[in-house]
Amino acid sequence: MTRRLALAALLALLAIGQVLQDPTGAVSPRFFPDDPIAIDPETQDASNVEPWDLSDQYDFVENTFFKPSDRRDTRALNVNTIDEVPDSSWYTNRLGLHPVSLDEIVRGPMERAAPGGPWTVIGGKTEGISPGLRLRDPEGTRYFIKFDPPDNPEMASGAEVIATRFLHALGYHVPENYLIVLRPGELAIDPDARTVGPDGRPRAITRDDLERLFSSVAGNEEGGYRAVASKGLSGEDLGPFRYYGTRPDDPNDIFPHEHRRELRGLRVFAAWLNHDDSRSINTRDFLVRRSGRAIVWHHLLDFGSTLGSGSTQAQKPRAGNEYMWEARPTFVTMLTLGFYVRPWLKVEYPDIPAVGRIEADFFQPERWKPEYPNPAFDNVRPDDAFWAARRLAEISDDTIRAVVETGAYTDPRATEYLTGVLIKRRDKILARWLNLVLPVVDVALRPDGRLTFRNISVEKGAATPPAEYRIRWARYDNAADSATFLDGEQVVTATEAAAPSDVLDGSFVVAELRAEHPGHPAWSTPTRVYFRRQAAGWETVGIERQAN
Amino acid sequence: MVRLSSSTVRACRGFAAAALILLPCAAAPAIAQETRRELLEQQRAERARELEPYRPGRVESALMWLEREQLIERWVGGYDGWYPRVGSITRGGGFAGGAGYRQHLGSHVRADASAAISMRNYRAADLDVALPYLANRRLELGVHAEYRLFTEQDYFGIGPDSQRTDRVSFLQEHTEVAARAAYRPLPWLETGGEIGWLNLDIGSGRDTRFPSIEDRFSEAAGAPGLASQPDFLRTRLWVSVDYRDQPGNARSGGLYTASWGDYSDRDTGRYSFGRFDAEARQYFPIFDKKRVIAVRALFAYANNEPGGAVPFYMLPTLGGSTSVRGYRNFRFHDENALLLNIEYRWEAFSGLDMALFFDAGEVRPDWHDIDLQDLNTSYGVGFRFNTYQNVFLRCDVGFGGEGTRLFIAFGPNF
Repeated sequence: MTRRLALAALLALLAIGQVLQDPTGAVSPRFFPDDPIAIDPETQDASNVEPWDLSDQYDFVENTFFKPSDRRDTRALNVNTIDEVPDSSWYTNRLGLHPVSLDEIVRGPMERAAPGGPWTVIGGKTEGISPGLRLRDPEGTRYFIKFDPPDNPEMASGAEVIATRFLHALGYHVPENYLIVLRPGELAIDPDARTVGPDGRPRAITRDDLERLFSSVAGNEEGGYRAVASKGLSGEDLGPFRYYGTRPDDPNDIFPHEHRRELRGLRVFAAWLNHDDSRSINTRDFLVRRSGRAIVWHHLLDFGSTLGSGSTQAQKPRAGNEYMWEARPTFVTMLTLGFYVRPWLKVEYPDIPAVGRIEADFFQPERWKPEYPNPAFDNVRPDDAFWAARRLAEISDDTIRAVVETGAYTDPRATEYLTGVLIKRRDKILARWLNLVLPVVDVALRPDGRLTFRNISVEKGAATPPAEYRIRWARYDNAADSATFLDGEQVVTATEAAAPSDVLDGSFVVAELRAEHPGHPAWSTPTRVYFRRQAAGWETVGIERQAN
Repeated sequence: MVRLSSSTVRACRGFAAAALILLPCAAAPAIAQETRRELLEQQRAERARELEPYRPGRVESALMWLEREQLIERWVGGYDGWYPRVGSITRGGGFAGGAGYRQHLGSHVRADASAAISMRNYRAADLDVALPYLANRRLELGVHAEYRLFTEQDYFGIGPDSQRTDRVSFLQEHTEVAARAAYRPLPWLETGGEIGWLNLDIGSGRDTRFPSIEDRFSEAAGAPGLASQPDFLRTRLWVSVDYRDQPGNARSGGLYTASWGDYSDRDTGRYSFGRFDAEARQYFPIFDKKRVIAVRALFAYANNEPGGAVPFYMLPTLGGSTSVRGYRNFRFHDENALLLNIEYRWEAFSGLDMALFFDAGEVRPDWHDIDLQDLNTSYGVGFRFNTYQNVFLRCDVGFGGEGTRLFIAFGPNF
């Protein structure tokens, strides 16, 4: 509490101080000529960033018991003036902002066909819990190899390649993850290949090590072992990023991570994909060169614990339903001698080993949880969730099926079931999170003064149309950040309206839209859209879906 | 006045700068900018002048050290090298701590040496050399040497009618060297044999609260073997069927074992005896193993030749943290013992299981006398702090029997 008070006081002082520094009392324009920016200019050289290693246990303890981040209910800080996320080292707009073909989505981040042998073992796998290796292909490219658990063939590898493609399409930076089949007899061992020995220290890899590894993972009837080959990321490995704060030695990292829109919105996608392992340990920063300077590039990785997979076993029923530690259900269970049974324990799953445990009937998007609290997820507001849901809405049934098919499941039930579950979970997410704000998109003011927009929730079947939309119009003074509204509201039943001529003679126009819908009370909260006069007409320059 | 740490101040600056730049607000930046890009570049340039490397706090540093040194893995037996030996030496011995060193010698031999001392001054030292990976890990050969010193073991006399008011303590010191062979033809089936030499000494108990054993018992009256302690040649054969899901914290499956041991008195022959032990455990899971009903039946039988006697310190026992929990550890001794446990366990959260339990058992001089009529019983509640695969701390409170008993122990009950 002391820290929060101190933060509030500091911010107030900063704001007052800024005004006092300007003797004229003038304020900056709300919109700059280059708004809305499409690219976040990360122009500082980050060559001096040092690799770090974070403690997994500390991450759990800190986020579970101490809530270290800034929890204020504030708008995401890295959005541009039209409430979108500019491209950056964190995020690249794909679905939702640009047309993306089905082939591009299915291809995902992969830049080639699946790599092939002969493979050379160059090391053991030291990160994560699933058994694995590090291999080199004939071209010298390095891959991390992960296998499936013996009781669930194709489960973890299928989940990994499916989640990789979806998260890439949704804009995140992810590794190239390929499905391959290895045959132990065809593996060569590099003389310098090392693994962790029984003393916890590096030692040379032997054939015995490989035999032991392959005896502990799922194989197929032809003597092959299906695996995910994850291409090594380029650049200098800097370690994971945290879901709160900033990296203190990165000059470009100016937005606290818990206030980054794409990290908040990841909660929506994580819920959809049941990515309960969405925590710091499964992220990675790399120092790369872009435009002649070094910058830190941020990745999500390790999707073995997504969908119905728990990497080394079928996903636990708790996954997605409860944090590892939660006081209330724990004490209720203790005090009722276990006769209180958590509802998610009663969920039944089909017996499809390649799928594991995931379902869509019990799933409630707003109640979904990762393994332990994620500061960025905890800060999700309706406008963040809408931003993410809008992207998810662009993933069609056909796209889901095509991506699930890249899991190459031998059992056709797996493909059918997963496709159905992901469609149903998506629909539940859209019904929930598209409707927590007025879901109008592509709001435009034509040169002839006609306002047009789309209701994406209605278009996607997540809501019925409202009886009417109500619009208030205003002239807007950008320099003074002052809107002067006309009297009265315009009422329309269609998704278009004519702007009053009184507001069209200035440089900026504001349209404030709302709607009444008995099933979606949040639609009555106005969404304010700003238009700026350009030579060719009106440009949409600002959107506020939720007041700060 | 509120003092802010440097990291907090930096965070505030970042937040304030971002808010001023990207969000509509009333305040103006100190230096007017022409474009959004210029504003962001300026903020990043200012940040570039304030950079510093990340410095973890004390708690995080400590946890990182734990992870780096792999102490947890060493404790649970994962890695070679030094490891902490934490737990109890025997029931009632109190918390014990020590150290061990584990090392693989080549690819087939594993050596392990450790020692510990408890809060009640119990002591233990062990040396084990094994070849655990023979015949594709189906055959294990090994030799083991151990030393134990129990300074104040409880004793109440022999038989079901022994009185708790007769409580005395005694000192037990023993050294044993044994060789073993275990064969697992199937993952769930093991059979094996063991042969060892056992040297034992019994002395005066050091628990000042109670009399020492010689003050109340004698060789002829309630404590055979008290006068002299011979060396034993011990042989044992066993077979076990084990299909538990995870031995350290079983939630499904079962364990069935039977063993026959022969203890040959190499000095007088008077204390030679045979001992048969059988145990059955079964675990019935409910709700994805979040609820478990666990049952156990255990029978022990010791038989001496006519004219001989089974030393009191080698008799089957009843009572205590892994037995009938409404009684003290080792409360009953006799040549035959039957123990029945049933536990209803439920997971409060992934790190804590709780249990309601009911225990019953009896000791008798002859196994024909075991009739389940005059059982010593108790009931209670337990807390088990665990990972999914192992129970590392157990607190059980037993009621009934001879009062309320609290047991804090390392590892599972059964």
